[in-house]
Amino acid sequence: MIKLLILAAVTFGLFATVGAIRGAFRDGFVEPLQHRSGVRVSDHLIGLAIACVYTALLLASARELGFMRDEGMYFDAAKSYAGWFEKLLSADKAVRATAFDKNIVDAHWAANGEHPSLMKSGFALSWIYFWKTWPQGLIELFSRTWVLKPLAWTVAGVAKLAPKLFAEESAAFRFPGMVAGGLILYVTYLFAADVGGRAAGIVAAVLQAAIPRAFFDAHLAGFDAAATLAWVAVAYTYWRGLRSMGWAIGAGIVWGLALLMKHNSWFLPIVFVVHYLWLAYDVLRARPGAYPTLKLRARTLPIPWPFLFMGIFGPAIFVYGWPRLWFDTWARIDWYFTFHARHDFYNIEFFHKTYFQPPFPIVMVPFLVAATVPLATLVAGAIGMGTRWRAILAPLLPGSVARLDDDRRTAFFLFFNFCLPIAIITHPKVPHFGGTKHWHPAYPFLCVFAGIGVVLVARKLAALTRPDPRRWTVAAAVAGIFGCVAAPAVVETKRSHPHGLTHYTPIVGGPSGGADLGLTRGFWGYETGALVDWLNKHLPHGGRVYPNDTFHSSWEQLRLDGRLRMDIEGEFWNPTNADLLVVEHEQHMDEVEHQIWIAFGTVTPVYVVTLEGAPALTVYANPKSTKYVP
Amino acid sequence: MRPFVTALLCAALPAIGLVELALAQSQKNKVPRDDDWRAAASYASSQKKPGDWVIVSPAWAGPLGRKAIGEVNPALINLASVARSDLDTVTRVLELSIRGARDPQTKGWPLVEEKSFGSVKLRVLTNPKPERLVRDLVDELGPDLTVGRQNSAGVFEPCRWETGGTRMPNLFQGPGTPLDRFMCPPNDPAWTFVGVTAITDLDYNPRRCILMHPTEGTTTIVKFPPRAIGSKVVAYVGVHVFQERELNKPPVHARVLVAGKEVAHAKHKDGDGWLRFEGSTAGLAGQVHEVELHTTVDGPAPFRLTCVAAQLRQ
Repeated sequence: MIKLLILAAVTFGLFATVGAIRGAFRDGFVEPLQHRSGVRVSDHLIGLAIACVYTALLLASARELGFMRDEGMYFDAAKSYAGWFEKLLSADKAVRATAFDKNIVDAHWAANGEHPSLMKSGFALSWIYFWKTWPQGLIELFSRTWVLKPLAWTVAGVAKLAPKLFAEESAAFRFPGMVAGGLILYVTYLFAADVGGRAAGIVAAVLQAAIPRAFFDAHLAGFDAAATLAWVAVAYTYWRGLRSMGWAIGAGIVWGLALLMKHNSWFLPIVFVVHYLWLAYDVLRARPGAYPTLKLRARTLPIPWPFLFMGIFGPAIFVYGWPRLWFDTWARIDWYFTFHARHDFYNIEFFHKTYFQPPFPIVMVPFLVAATVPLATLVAGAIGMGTRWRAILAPLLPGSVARLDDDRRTAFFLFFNFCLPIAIITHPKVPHFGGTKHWHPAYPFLCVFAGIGVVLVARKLAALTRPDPRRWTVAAAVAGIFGCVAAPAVVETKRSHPHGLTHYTPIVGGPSGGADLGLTRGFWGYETGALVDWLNKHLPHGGRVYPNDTFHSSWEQLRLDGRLRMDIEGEFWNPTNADLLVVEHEQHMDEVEHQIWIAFGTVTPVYVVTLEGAPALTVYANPKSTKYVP
Repeated sequence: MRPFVTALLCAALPAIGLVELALAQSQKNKVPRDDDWRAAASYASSQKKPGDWVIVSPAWAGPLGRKAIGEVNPALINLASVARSDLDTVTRVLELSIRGARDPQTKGWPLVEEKSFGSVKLRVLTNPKPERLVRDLVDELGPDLTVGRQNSAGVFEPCRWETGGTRMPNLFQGPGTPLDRFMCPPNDPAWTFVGVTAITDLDYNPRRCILMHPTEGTTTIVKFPPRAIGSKVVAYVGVHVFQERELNKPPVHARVLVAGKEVAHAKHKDGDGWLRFEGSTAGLAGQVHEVELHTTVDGPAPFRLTCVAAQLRQ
């Protein structure tokens, strides 16, 4: 698959180059495309090429990353859903018909019913067709009707190039999440190119790719990269839909798909309603340079078509796209919302204190943004926002001070989309857990501003050479500043892997600085993935390992993938029987370490997994073990 | 704006990027290597005298320091030093330290020697006012003691001594069950034992102590045979974190009795954490008497995993 992705990226790049030769980029690289001819097909190709390269990078680095607790649950759920898809797509008509039977639907879709279907369906289909049955499954499926025969031939051709798509089973489950991670960059590029120019687009996409925590999440068979994609994609289509009926329809469809990804997407209409009210007020108010009458000003107000199509398509896609909701619809929707309204408070450590319940410190979220996003990215974003403050705050400013950036009040829209995900979680009574992932939808908007900031600074610098700087001067300035801003982000992201949740940025002292400050150093059991080579070596004849917080199915996946030998078993229920015992360094897990000291009479571990000096995971050996070989 | 000012402002962004990059590299270069830890542990081993304790700072680096010590000389470190209540009776500590950290329990201690091993420092600190340890009651727990529960009618029900079958209860359950312990009714090895364990206190620090779980209307009692008495009792009481952190359960009491008289008492309320309490035994110093530890709880509260550490000091 990595080869195919690179091939696709090269192909997209070549076509974009052809487009460039034919004048697709005649608007240049530093002018906002929304004020020119808009994004072109070649821009989509650039965005897709970036997405492919990033997805390939994620795939290539996934084997080093263990499995989160939730991933194990989603593997299980995906296998359950796969059973339903196998019925739905069966060659046997009678079997296909059973896929719409309530008992069959419920049997397959009851698992993990608290999260919608789209991503887990992606995991299931990827597992069936890209792993279990590749390529025969797809060839057989596409060969059933003559219309799809060309697809079958294509699959057969691709299979010759890539007889095996993934190195391990888990990669098939994770692949849709990685694609979501790649598509975030695609949409970020388009958005930034539209509002800041192509150079801003490239800068924004790369900076988004090089946020260590976002890079970590983009590897997972989870919903968090997807939730970010959903947010930025719906925002982009809505924003385009204010000028284009086609995009307005697209906004409705994309929002429907977003609802099928994660419940966060239900907050999106709030963003759009607030934005539209803000926009309407600013357009309709009397200000210097505006039309003299309200009636004339009202004519310049964009018609909010996206709301209409979001209302039409969103709920319909949500219900029809989630088989679990086909029966007892209202009761199950009610259960779904109730589940999330009363979601458990999980723990999170902040300044040496573990919070199990609200109220959470109001500074927690802003502080963690500053401690986990590379500083240069934040500063570039702040510059981008700062240069547009008069547009962002336009309705609050006197008409003579306010700046009219465009008829969609884009600066405010971007700013509000950046602030809201952070603001929602900042509220002391909103559950805080899962590290920083719940406000990751803010980051593409930060990076759009960062792209704008980098280009602006570069243009100012280039303008020092002469009032009308040459294009290559501007290009060189953009490249130089981009390099300086992106370098720390790329280096930190590379170093954070595969311990992304232990990572903190240099301004708080790096991972060890995070430990000094008493910030969460990891959670949900994925760190055992960093241990497999050591376990294979030190349990040469098999043995039992107490894996602390690693979920059963996550541990099992390490074995199924061949990372861990099959004779090394997890000991979940009676740790005193284990040969080796693992402690993940999440503060509330300390009590497990203290139990180990008592049960095994030793306080000296045999192995410690660290990220730049900060322990992420510690291993103790049972002194009575006959299997452990030091 | 003047060109110079513009240039300066514009240069700030790339400069921030480069500074961040340099900072990241510098922080990486300062990360201690395994060899640094081992070299410091070896030196500590060569310098250690009887009565010295070896400690690691900061606490989060404990696994790295203890691993290195384990590779060099496991006898340098044990549960008593790692899960200590204080260092008041220790005359000298050898501290393996990184990132300039210093254990708060050695605050005010003069630094005698400091030696660097890469990024790990070995500090030798002496206690300016060490107290003399007369008896550590946690060390004395054994089969020769009398342990039991006394109900409100004064009926004493003894607990039985048993050995074998440690238990590691896992998260949110309580401390580990030690190999040797008294088992008290209703004889649940998870929580009705009286034995030396390590609880996790409210701040998630380990504390070596005697688990003495009280139940409603009963007093859990540990009687130590007559031995020497010092001039004061220094004791600590705490409740396992998962029982204390919700801050909604009734208080527990810990008492120290010497020659049948209460000399120290603490009422531990949720939120108190690892609570120190003291009592004077100056009038009994040098004499030989029986000592008792008692724990009780106010009101109905099962699973109050109360743990007590007590020392008689001079």
